[in-house]
Parts: sequence; structure tokens; C-alpha cells
Amino acid sequence: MDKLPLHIVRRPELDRVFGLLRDNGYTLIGPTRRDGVIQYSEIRSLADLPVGYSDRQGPGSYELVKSETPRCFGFVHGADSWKRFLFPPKRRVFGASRQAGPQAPFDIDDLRSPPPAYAFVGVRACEIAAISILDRVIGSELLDPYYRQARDKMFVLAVNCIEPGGTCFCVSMNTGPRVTRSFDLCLTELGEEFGVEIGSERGAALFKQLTSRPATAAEKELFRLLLERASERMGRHLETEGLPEVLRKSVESPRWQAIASRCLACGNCTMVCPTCFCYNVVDSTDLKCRKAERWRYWDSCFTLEFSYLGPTSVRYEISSRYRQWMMHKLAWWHDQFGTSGCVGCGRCITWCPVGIDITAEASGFRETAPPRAVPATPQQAMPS
Amino acid sequence: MGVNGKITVAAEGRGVLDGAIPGPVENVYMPKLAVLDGVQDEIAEVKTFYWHFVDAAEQAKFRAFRPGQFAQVSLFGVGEFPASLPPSPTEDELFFTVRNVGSCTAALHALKPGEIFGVRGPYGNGFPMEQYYGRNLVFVAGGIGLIPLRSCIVYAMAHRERYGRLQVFYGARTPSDLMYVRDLKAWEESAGLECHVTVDRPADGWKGNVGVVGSLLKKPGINVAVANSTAFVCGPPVMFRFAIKDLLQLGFAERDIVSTLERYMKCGVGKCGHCCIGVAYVCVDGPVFTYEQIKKLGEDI
Repeated sequence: MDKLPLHIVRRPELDRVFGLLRDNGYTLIGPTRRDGVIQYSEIRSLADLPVGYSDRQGPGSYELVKSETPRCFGFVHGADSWKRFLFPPKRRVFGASRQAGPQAPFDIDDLRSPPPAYAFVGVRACEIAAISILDRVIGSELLDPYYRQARDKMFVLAVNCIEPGGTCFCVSMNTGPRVTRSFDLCLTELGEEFGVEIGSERGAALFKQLTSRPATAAEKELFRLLLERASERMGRHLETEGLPEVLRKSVESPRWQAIASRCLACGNCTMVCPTCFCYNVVDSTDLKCRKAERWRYWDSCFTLEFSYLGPTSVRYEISSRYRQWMMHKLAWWHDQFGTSGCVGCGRCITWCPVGIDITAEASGFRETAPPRAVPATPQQAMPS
Repeated sequence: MGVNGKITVAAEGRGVLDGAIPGPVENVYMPKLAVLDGVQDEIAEVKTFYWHFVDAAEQAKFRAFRPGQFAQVSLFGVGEFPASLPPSPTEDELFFTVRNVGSCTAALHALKPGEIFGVRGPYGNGFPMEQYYGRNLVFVAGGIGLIPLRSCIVYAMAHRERYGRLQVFYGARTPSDLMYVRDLKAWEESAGLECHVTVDRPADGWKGNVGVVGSLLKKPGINVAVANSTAFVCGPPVMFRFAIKDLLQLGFAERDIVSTLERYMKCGVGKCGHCCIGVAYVCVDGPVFTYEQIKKLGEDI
């Protein structure tokens, strides 16, 4: 730990970092407090960060609370993930127009605009893991041009989690809490100051322009202790050893029905998941039918329409949709992309309206006993 | 992965975005303009649409498709749908045969010759025709399941010397549900191929076989080539299940039974997730799968 290349900067230096990034043409996106939730949106200075706020997360519950320690990053992620910027929820694929009748050829325009150069502020270790998964999924074989450009330009100002959330399980998925890869600069809040690690040449060039000092042995020890303590305080745990095999053998298990009795098939879990990538394609026209546009939208395997085929849907039962999602995420993803589709961020647990917990449900398949009896409706699940 | 390869896709097969990436990338979702040349009625609600690309270079590029591949058909302002390629690359004309089932296919059915639509592709793995050299090919089709198999049958006829016996077993509900009647007639008269046709319910004047397609396989006087043979099965789910059962009973190995799977795909290039069946994406890992592979997908087809 003594050899840890850790530097110390004072908190106001963060404003200089933001200024330097902006001067270099970056659009800064970071955590802000909006509608009582941490949301990623454009920021300009330290003052835009939710300083002094912390979050309480549990299955189906989220609360942003005033914290006693005025930390800059005293919360974990909200529902938002960086996927929203690299792979936007809505993108125009192209436009087609024609001035004359049906036999006149269409003019097809590639209406896509290039993405801005984003500097992402406050990227957590699990989120870096999620981006690396999206690289494999979206960035492979046929590259999505928008994703590729956004991904190539992005600057990652990462933050080490020293206070994990109530639904976090990055330790189980081996993705955190410490940021170890694919970052430009990484911050760790050490009291009123930041520990800074440099992860790239771009990061080093920026760091050179800051006022800093090397960390003392005591500060390095504090860094180590904070991250060790964070690892020990995960809100959730998922045993991943042999899990894909357990799930593959559980395709016909009655547990899927038990989960489906609670699942509303609302698709929240897929929307908040930082690695879910499915999309739908929809055409629209103007009223004269002279102009048409094709748009791509995030889609969810929880909708009935997702597996529409001819007169009906392949996954008609909610149990088959939940099974598709969990099996894909935790088992088939390994076959398809050589990695789990889950990074242990816990968003799907927090934002599930009925609090279905992927860690508990996946573990359930290890048990040989029949699934526990579950209330039929979420109302019945509420404490009386 | 090929049809006889492993189902599991190696992670390195879907490369990782690392380091510098060369030049600008083409928008793969951009359809190429096509002109409708003519329409041929097949059966109720099913028509064949002859077409060509506006750009001759696109036409030449596309014509290198393999039997069993598919294309994405665009009706601007309505949407896009995947369609099998029933022509063989050995034929001169390009065409789709499409049933009117939803808004996009209805828009194609409403198109008049000379009008413009969009096509991109070809996509999917297609049948590995070279792997079947020297083998007998047994085609078992039901209803519009003949659409994807037509390409393969015509291709095998065009390269007759490369294959052993060619047998077609085709069934439809009624005589008026028989697809590609002009092809069926030619095949029945051809010396290079045995073609057996049946209907579930005969109409007045029907002199041919009556019964489900599986009954043809067991019919006295019909000798299905089993040794050194590959069977191709396409049709509605019920027919598929029974035909597979019949073929297994005849002694076909699971890896020697081949089919094409169907899903409503939004991209055709393995990105939108709609055609995911267990470990596979039908659009890139299929649509051609052996029965052995289908059983290992991890989810019902």
C-alpha cells in the first residue's frame, strides 16, 4: 500500500478539474439532485453536486437524505446509468423523404448527429464494469457508430465507493468497490480532501495542472481501510460460483411461477440496468406521408410485444419473461459475451416496485425445497 | 458459428472494443432502395414480390446470398420486417414471398409495381450447402414453410451432381393452400428429384395424397433416404414437432435434421435482442439450426 501512487488535492481543486475539462470541449455529466433522486445531468461546478446528501436504498425503496458529513459523493448511483449517454433511450436511425408520388425515389438521410465529448463525473467501479460489458455487446462485430464515438471521446472521472448502498453487491460480481481500470482520474474522498489516482495519459495531463501533494503513509492507510470497510459492508450478496449451471438446470422450475406471481412485468429493472441493451425500432411519418423517420427506442423483454410473432407472443406468461431476463443476465450472457450481464449495482432491486431481489431469487434456485409461498399481490406484501 | 459448430459463442468471437478503431463506420441500419417489379398471387393472403435494387452495384453485392439467409424489408413510415429469401442464388430474379399478417406486410401487399421500398441484408448463417456435398437431401415442408426451403431445393437442383437423392415432402391444409404450384409441378415432372405432395383436406377434383405430411414418410412405396442424408424441416409448430418425431423414428440423427427458426427481428445484426432464444440470437447464430442445436438453446422455440 506504501507504493500506492496516491496524490492529495483539496476539494476546491475539483472545480479546476471541471473548468479544465470544459475548456477542452467536454460536456460534463455528473450526479445532481432532481425529484428526490440522484440523476446524471449536465453540471458546471462543485456547487451542482448533491454535496451533503446520502441515499438509503432497499428492495423497492429509495430515499435521499441529508447527511451529517458533507461529502461530495456520499451516495451511490440512482436509477440513471451512463448507458443513457452512450446508448441514448431514443435515437433517430434515419429519415426518408420524397417530393413526388409513390414511384419517386426516397431521399434517405443519415440524420444522426455525432455525440458530444462527455466527461463523466463520479463513475463508480460497477459502472465502469457495465461500460466494459456494453463494449462487448454493442461495440462488437458491427459497431454502433454513435456508441463508438461517444465511447472513444469520453473522459472518466471515477469515484471510489466508500459507502456502499443497501442493494449493492459489486463484491459478489467482482466489479468493485475499488476502481481499478478504464478511468482517466479516480477520486477517493478522504475527509475534506480527495485522494487522486491517475489512470491514463489524458488524466495525467490534466492532473499536472492541479495543485497537489503526494499522500502520506497515514492517508494511504486510510484509503486502504475505507475501501476494505466498503467491501465488507455490501448490502447484498450473490453466490456466483456455478450459478449459470444452476440456472440452466432450472428452466422448468416452479420458482419462475412464484416470482411471476409478484412481478408486474413493468420493465423497470431493464430500464435501470446499466447493461440491458435491447431496443425497438419504430417508424413515423408526417401527415402528408412525404417524410418518414425511423427511430430506435430502448425496449424491455418484460413487455408482451417484445416477443411478438405472428398472432401471439412467444413469451406470453410473465414467468417466461422474468426467466428470459434473469437467465440471460446471469447464464446465457456468459455463452454470448464471455461475461456475466450483471455488475452487482443493485438498481433492479431498488427500482422494482414490488422489491424483487435478484440476489435472493437467484439463490433460491440452489435450494431443492419447493419455493416459499408468496403473496399474490403487492398489496398483500405490505405490512399491515 | 456454423450450423455444425457449437451453440455457445466464444467470447472472443464478439470482439472487445479496445484501443484504436479504424475509420468511420457505415450505418448498417440504412436500407437500400428497391423497386417492386411485379406481384404474383400464391395462396390466400400470400403473394410473391419480384424486385430489384435501384443501385446495380447493390444488386450485384446482394446476389451473393446463401440459401436460408434472410433480409430486412423496409416500408418507409410503416416499419421493417425480416423476410426469408425464397429464390436460389442460381436464379436470375430476386423475390420475397410474404403473408399479410401485420402493418408492415400489409404495406408491402399494398405496393404496386414500380413503387419504391427498402431492403438490407442478406443476414443470417444460411444453409451450409457445401457441407451436404455427396449427401441425400430430404425436404419436409408444411404450408408456407416451403418459402425458406425453396431456395435450398432450387439450389440443390441447380448443382444436381453435388448431391445424392433429392426428396421433397410437402403438405398443406387444402389444395388451395399449396405454395409455389408452378414449382411443385416442375419438381413432380423432374427426373432429378422426387416430389410428394399431400393435403389434409382434399377438395373436389383432388387426385393426390391425403393426410398430414408425416404420413407421406411412412407411405408404402415411398422410400425415404435415411443413410447419409440430411433432412430439412420447415412448417407450423405442430407439423414441426410431428415431422421431427417421424424423422427420428426413421433413424435420422438429431444433428442431421435442420430447420430455420422464426422471430420478429428489429435489427437483423445481433443487437436489438428481440430474437434471443436462450444462448442464441436467431439473426446471427441462425436462422438455420440443427435439431441437436435447437434442443440445447436453453429455451423452447
